[in-house]
Amino acid sequence: MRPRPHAPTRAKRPETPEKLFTQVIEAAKPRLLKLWEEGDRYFPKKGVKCDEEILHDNSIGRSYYQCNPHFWQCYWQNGVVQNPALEIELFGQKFHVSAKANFEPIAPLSQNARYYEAFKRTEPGFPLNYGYVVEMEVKEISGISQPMVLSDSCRDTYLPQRIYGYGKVKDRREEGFIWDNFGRHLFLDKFYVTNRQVNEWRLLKGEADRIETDRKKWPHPALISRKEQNAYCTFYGKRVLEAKLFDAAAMYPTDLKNPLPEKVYRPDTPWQRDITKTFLGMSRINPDYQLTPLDCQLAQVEGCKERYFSTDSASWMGLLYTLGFYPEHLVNDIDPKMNLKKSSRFLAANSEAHSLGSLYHWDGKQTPDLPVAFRCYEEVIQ
Amino acid sequence: VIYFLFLFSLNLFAATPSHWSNILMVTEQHEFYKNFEPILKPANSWQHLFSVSYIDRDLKRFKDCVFYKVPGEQAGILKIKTLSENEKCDGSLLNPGDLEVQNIKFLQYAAFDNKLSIDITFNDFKNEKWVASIQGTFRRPEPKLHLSSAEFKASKLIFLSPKSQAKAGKKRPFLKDGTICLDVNDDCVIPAASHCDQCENGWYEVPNGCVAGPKFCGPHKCGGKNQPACNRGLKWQRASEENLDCQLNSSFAYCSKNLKVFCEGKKAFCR
Repeated sequence: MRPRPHAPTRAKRPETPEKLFTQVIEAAKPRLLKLWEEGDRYFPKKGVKCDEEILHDNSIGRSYYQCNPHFWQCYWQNGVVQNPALEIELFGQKFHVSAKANFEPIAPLSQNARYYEAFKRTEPGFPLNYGYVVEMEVKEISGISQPMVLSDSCRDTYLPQRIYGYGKVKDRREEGFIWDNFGRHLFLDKFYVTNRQVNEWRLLKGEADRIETDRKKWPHPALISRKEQNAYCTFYGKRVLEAKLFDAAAMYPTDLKNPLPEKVYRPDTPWQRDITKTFLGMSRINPDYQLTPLDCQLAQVEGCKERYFSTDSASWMGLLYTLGFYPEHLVNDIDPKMNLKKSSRFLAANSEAHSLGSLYHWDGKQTPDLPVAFRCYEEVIQ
Repeated sequence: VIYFLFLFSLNLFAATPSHWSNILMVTEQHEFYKNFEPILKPANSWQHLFSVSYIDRDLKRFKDCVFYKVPGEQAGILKIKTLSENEKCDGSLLNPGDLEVQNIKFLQYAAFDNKLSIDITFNDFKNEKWVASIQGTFRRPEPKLHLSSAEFKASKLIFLSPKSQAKAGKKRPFLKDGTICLDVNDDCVIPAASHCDQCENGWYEVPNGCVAGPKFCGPHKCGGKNQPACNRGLKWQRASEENLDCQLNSSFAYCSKNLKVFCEGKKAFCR
């Protein structure tokens, strides 16, 4: 006799609305995370309809919309698609999961109730220093909602444990200052800290009157004093990026697979060891060198179009803007006065400053001639 | 409404506390009671069955101590008392709970990695089943290229309990600046886990020739005059020793330009 074919086992529909709700939310988790972390993929070609949250122009790269609470707000208030609810099919039924506008408006920005609330923890115990609380509901199961925390998982990136070099060496045979980060977990901001992030900091500190209200400037680097830069990073349990970490993240290791190399090289650029073979080197030799769009993607120097959140300049470990773009403040505990990466879009391509390991002094004051960006890093104890 | 009436008629309506919708973990489980085993002994005594830990919507960690008065001369009572996660349940054993379920004839529970269930049979033989899903303990991923600090510290989505428990438990203070949060002795032994995540203003390290030096709460500082030296690592020298003695070899530390490493015992400072 042939065995009776097995009927496919179907998950049993939960008996109570609470349990059904839990299962629908659990099923919606990957879609919610995708919407949060990959907002760039949801960004429509025609742009968004939420001027109070986002004023997009072509100088802004789409990666700005990853883990961006203003994009989250825009999405749920119908600024991205007409019907934002996420459709989840479960137990033969279609459920519609949405965020609730359950949080107080941010008065200086908009009168609309918010679909999220930024927080900084006020007690130890919670594993994250900061993040965003959101609350989800299911249209077909009324009276129940689920608050949850979205973390800022797009912000920083890990610096692998290995031997690194700092600064330049006069002679290639010299080793210079080398160090290692074995046993340490270091995470470096990929981009500069933006006006949007500084606004969020000011709002959390109760300084709503000091926020940047020009929405076009929100994706731009925050140009605040050195004292405020330190205060910003400390507030989130981070520190202003150090010069030796910047070099480690920018200089491509010769052998990625060997964390204990015999020799630690100091490449001049993140993409080519010898600067003479790059457009920066060619510009030094040829004053008539014409910049190409590709050159400007690698390092935004004088003559390049202004562009933010482009990802083409990523270093070997994911740090952006290591040459060109904006001058950047770097804390330097080896040589404290050398605290500025001067290579930027304000210097011509033939400038000697466009080279890794070249540091200058910054007095800590922002001026129109020298606007200085910054970013943070964090060391996490295992 | 018909659906709910139907559930009531079957005695299947779950009265699981609403703030248990996504608990973090079940802790402090009674050492003798086994999953699905009816709790019958010792009659007439209060027992602490287990605790349930969760994060409320204000991002504060709480635990519910779950007590049971084993039926004997009188019916059983299930009692739940909410405390801050660092408080002890013992003190609440004989005090009134925040939630009490009376007239219990039998009770059994089962705690698994992802689910907690409590079966309650009342004196009138009606039955209630409480079920709560457990988010589980977060396991740190192996650090690798492109991993973010947020992913290293916690799940990408953390479910909160729908209610605020503001009135329950005591406020947990942060550790003050200067408090040691990770002790590492001169033999490089770490006697207790790190508490540096409880520092309000970050932490700083005093390198002592071990892979990890002792850490103290407070803003990061290193390399300056009279400050701890900065950590340079132990492997860049390609030395064979696993740990270094500051008095003999202080290459694991460095100071800012024009300052020198000065050893106080095995700890490195700058002068």
